[in-house]
Amino acid sequence: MKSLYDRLKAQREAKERSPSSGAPKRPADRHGSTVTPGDETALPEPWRRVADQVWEACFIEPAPRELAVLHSAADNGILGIGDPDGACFFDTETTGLSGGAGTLCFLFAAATLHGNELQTELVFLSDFSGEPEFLERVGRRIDSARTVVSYNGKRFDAPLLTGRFLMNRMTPVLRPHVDLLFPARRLFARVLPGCSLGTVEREVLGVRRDIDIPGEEVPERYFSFLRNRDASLLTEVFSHVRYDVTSLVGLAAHIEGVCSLSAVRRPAPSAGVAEASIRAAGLGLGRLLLEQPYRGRRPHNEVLRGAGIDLLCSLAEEVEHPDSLTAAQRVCAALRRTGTPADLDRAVAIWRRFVSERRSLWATVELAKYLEHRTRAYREAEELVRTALSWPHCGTYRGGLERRLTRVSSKAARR
Amino acid sequence: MSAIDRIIEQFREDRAFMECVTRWETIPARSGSYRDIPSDLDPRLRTALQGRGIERIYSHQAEAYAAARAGRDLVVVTPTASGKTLCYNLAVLQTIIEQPETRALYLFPTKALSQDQQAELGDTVLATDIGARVATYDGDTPDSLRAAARETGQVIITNPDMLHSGILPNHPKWIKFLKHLRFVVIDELHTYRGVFGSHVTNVIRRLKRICRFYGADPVFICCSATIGNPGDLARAVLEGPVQLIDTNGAPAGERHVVLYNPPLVDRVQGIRRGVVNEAQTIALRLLRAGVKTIVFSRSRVRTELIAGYMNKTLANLYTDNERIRVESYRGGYLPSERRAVERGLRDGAIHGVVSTNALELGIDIGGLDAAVLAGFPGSIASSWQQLGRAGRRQTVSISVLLASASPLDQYMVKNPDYFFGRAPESAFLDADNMYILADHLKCAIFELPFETGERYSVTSGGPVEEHLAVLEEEGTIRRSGDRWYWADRGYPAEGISLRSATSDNVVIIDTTGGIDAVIGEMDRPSAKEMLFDNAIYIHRGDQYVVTKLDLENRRAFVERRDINYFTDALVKRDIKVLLEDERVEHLGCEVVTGDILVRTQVAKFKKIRFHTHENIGYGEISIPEEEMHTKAVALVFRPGSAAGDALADLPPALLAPAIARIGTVMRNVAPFFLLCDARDIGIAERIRDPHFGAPALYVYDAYPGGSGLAESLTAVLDRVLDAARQLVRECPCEEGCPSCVGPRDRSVEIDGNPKAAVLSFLEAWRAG
Ligand SMILES: [Zn+2]
Repeated sequence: MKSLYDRLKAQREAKERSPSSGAPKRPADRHGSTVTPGDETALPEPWRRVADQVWEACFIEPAPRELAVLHSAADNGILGIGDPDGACFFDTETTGLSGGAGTLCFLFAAATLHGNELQTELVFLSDFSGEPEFLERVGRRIDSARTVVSYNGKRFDAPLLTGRFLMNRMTPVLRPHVDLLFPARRLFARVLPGCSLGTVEREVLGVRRDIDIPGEEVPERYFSFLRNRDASLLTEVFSHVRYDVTSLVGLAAHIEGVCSLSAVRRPAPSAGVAEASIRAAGLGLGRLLLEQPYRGRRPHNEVLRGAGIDLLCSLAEEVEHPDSLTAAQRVCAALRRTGTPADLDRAVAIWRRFVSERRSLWATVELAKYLEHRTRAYREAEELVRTALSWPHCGTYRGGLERRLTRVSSKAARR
Repeated sequence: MSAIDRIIEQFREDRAFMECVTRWETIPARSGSYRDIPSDLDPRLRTALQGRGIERIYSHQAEAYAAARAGRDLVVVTPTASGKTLCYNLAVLQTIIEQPETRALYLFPTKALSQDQQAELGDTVLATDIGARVATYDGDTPDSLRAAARETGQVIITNPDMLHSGILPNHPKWIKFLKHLRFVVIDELHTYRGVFGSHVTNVIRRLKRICRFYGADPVFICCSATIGNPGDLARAVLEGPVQLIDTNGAPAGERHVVLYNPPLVDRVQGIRRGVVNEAQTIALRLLRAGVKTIVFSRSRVRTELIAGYMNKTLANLYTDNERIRVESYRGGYLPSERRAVERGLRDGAIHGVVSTNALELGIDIGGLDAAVLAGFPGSIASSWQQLGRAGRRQTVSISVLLASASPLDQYMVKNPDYFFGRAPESAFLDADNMYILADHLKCAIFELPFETGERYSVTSGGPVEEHLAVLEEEGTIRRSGDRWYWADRGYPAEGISLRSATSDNVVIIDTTGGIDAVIGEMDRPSAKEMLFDNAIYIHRGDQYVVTKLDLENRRAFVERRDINYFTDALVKRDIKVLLEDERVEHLGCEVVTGDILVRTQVAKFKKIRFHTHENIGYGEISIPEEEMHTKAVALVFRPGSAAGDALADLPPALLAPAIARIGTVMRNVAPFFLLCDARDIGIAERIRDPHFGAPALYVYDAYPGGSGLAESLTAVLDRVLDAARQLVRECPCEEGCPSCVGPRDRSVEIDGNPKAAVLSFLEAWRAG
């Protein structure tokens, strides 16, 4: 009788043969020299060992010149970051990308601003047993910030860190969280091939990384390090995460720059943002300024909101533009909600334009509602709806239009 | 005199009917055993019970309540109509009232059952204004509702698969729920046997491990249908002491159980009327007498046929189909269609239903007065579950078991003492099965680092050091400090299925009239047998012809058409040896372990005329064979070996039956030693195996990739063979019966007694 060990090995080999099995295919280096745990490999300068299996490094460099935008935006900014000196721009690297309780965070990077300096701190876990101390130090970084800023951290990094704290019986540290992925999507989804931080950083900020590794290769690289304890394997990983957090600062400044620039309608040299980016962002930028969904509980910045309305109105005027209808719908909804005479006039102008130039059913209904309920111009409303009913494309709107016609006709007759 | 009494009397006086009856057993009515509503029960709950007409509860419900409230794990045996849900809902809801932070997890084996359960529990909750929050959490729960279910659900209804792949691997998200988990309800415990049960037991181990981490220690409340060993099974799943509550306090009306052999239509050849026609005739007599009836059939096609024939007989515009509504019910219908049938049965709009074993499980369809079993369901336990679908608390019921022409069915009706005397089958599982344990250990380490010296399971679980060593070498786990950590980017639960069946279903699309409408679905292997091009597919009585089976995109296109025949695929199964791991001389034969490919091919189909069931032609099918790569052990009987010579000594005519019957005995005996279910292993016999060039018997794992059962047969072969020999020798039957070598099949085994042949083979082999 074979021993259990031999049978298990045989089973594993059989699984690797079997095409139907889901056994993971692993790279060939898995039997590389394994160093016994506790056998510490020194990490080069500026790394310092701060606890068993926990390392820290700190890098100081001049802050990016766009920083002024973040300072001037502060509490009035579109992102809700507040005072940039109180913000912690962070990113993590993990042992897997699918999440779940078995995925650990092994590298934490935090960029903070101190006057004209950008300080990047890295905390690294060189083996799993050091996780409590590692988390303790990560928690300290978050704890000292007023706001944390990430890219896709709301869905990935933050829940993962929370889980790690809980699994180590530690209390998770929570701070208001600004996730730049969402505003970046609004601004760049239509102009860029993708919205990964790498793409945005390359195409928008013009950053070229010299030492880097694709994010999806990071876990495997870390596992190689764990087996071989060769710190040089991690050079690209450390560089990668530093680029990530530095770009976060740049990206936040860029977004605030685009917004403030569009508000003041003049080039802001410190932001380094071209008028062209504003036009490219178009609809997304307009909505971002108008709706201001990321400012937390702060009241709307009315200057930025006004800029958003202007932007969407001008987009709505470009009848040929593919986004003009959406822009018109968004901005008219907002104008109708405020309901000042001036705002309503702007909305009416857009509706009329869409009715006459695009035979828009949406605009017909909106305008008819306005004429019926606000100005009680029943005859005009009647005529408007009657014309729309003669259009061949009125399709699913027909029932609603016919009911409306009956109602305004009777109101007109009664008068 | 009530309708049911009248029809029973009519049957009794019907000579033609009674000539077919081989046994009419009357089980006397039983009065209920009641207890007062527990004194500590909250007035709101008490009022809710009274609102449902419950002034006192059954003894088993009271016992279950007391045990659960005292913190004791329990299993309660719950036949139909015994008020199962109160056995757990009382304790759970009372605890929720006392401590609103209480959480409970309800596990049901299938998704359909969990939805039914939520409706039922919803009633209670609504009625009592307790405001207990109940949420279903399974693969169909939309993302938008998941977070709320986790955060606020007091009772979470799910299935073991979701617990395994969705909840446990993400336990930090469930911290609030798991910290306060006080009850785990495992319904339909009897389904957790064999390989599936071994998987589920490991999922329970993982759940307990995570609960320990969060400081929770929930009470487990299990419900089981009647099986041979409910207490043992519960102890095997929970791995600790379990209180068995098997005295049912619910009253039951008088029950008539009739074994019925359809009349001979050809006395010379011994051909009897088919079960399809006979079942519909008997069911119609019951329905026309005003008796609510369920017909159980053994296949999806027969379910459709019986329901179709019944509806055709009833069809009459002037009488509004005699005001009798009959529906069919099986897997593969749209969930909304199944819900509608269940509801119709409960509220009385539907009078008769024809079903596969899908309705054997605890789906609530209200009370029925009669059950007709179109064929023996394959096990005693299943038979009683199906027969038990007829029967209410107060009134008389009747159930009729109809025998098909198969030797097994014929044996049952011709030996009523055997049928009525035999205890329901026992259920076994082996949670330490090497394959299964290894899989779940990975999941466990993913979920929480494993402490050195930690016992994976509190009470058993054995040493796992060797497993850990292999996993470390493989690089999926890593030792750091005094713990083992998951060290792989993968998500292990994703690649581990608790069930052998594939989940990739073929969607059936009706293209009649140019409108594409999804009418149902079917698992892929069955689709190959039932939805091939030109197959006739029957769905809720409507006939469709399959215009195209698109396996790649998992779609089958069908069109309505009225045709006078249906189709039946001829399935061929063969085995190909892929790789031999080991070949040893053992116990007088050659024992070979290795990998095999089990190939199932449908190359032809028969066209069978409706009603007469005559064969009116054949058609070709060209679809790729279904393949399963698995592990097997082959016993090769070479000349010169003890077994080979013993086999060669048999009369040539008995050679083939003897080998086939060794397979049957194996199937009867091996589950006791392998701790599995008979359906977990496949058996194939070859008089002259092309790979080995000698007679051979294959025992293989019925799970893709293998489940370790075949492999461990070698270690217990000695005991299996001794048990087989003893079983055959001591079995009181003359020529074989279902307990030993299987009943004699006189259509094939014309000369000679197969039982004697098997016995002499076994004796000579073991003596040699
Ligand atoms: Zn026997």
